Amino acid sequence: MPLACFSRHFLLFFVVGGTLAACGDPVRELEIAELGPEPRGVPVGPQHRPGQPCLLCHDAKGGSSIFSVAGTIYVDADSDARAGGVGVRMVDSDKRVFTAVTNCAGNFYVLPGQFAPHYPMWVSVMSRGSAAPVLEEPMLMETPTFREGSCAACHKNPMTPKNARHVFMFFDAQNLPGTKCSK
Amino acid sequence: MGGCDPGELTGEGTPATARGQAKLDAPVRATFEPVADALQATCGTLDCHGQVGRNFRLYGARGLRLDPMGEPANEGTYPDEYDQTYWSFIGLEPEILSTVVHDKGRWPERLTIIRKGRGLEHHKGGAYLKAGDDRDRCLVSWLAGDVDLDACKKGKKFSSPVPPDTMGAPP
Repeated sequence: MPLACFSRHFLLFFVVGGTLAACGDPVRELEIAELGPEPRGVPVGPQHRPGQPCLLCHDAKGGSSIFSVAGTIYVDADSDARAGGVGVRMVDSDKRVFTAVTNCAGNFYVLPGQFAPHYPMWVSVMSRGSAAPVLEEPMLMETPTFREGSCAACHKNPMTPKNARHVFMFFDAQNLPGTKCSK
Repeated sequence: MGGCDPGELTGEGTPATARGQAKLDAPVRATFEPVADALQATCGTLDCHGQVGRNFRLYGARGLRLDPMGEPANEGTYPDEYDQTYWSFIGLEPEILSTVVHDKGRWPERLTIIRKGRGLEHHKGGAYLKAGDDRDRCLVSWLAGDVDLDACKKGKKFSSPVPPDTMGAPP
């Protein structure tokens, strides 16, 4: 058993290149390993790993900077075009409201010092001024979230019986390129 | 197990014993659907008991789907999903459940699901049953054998503490 554990940990370290250090929880370690390495050309930082469950690494047990809520917003339900400059409004059970704004990669993240929701939390996505694309009505999440700070823990493509689609602004295809980050 | 043989299991899934037919009582499936609907709103989301890894898991609309092609965000809850949620519920603590049902729902907090739901025992998801509130009365009345449909109907409503228009106010 100890040898098996050692081998597994060694393999995990090798797979993720040692950049993600979440020790002591084999389930979490496997989930992190399954995310794969950093994509080429995207430095570790606010633009990296869009669409992945951020808090796997970015929580108190994850070894990276801590977020309370984080995720990625896409333009529509089925494309990979991501939506920058979009507002993500969160309301918690104490009626506290916080709005985060997505960056050029479509990512947003909230630091605990900014807003640490008391669950459940209701979430909506909305346009901000002239930032494209423009939603006439905010897109409201149909259920609150009761404990999960990573959008992608429940929202990712492809949809399955166990997960909803990634978080999007428009249900119908928009044929928009999505926002890009300058290099 | 005293010679208990799986072949001796009754249709209820309980072993026949030398003393006669052992039988565990369970609340009936026929009146479970409103109860499941009331629980779905606060317990069955994908980040909580709408997960296959949970002992108590709820299948249904706005949560985990049973059909391999099912969509969490679409349609209503189907009868086979209610079936699976029912089996999940009654399989949690069948012996204790049997005594609660036998006692017409009295002292339901003997059940872990009630204690956790009411926050009497640590529950990561929080307390979404308050003794005597709609959702709680819905569940306990079902355990007692006379489900309170009005309580179940009210219990399935769970909405944001702020109006939807506030949810979408410009940042």
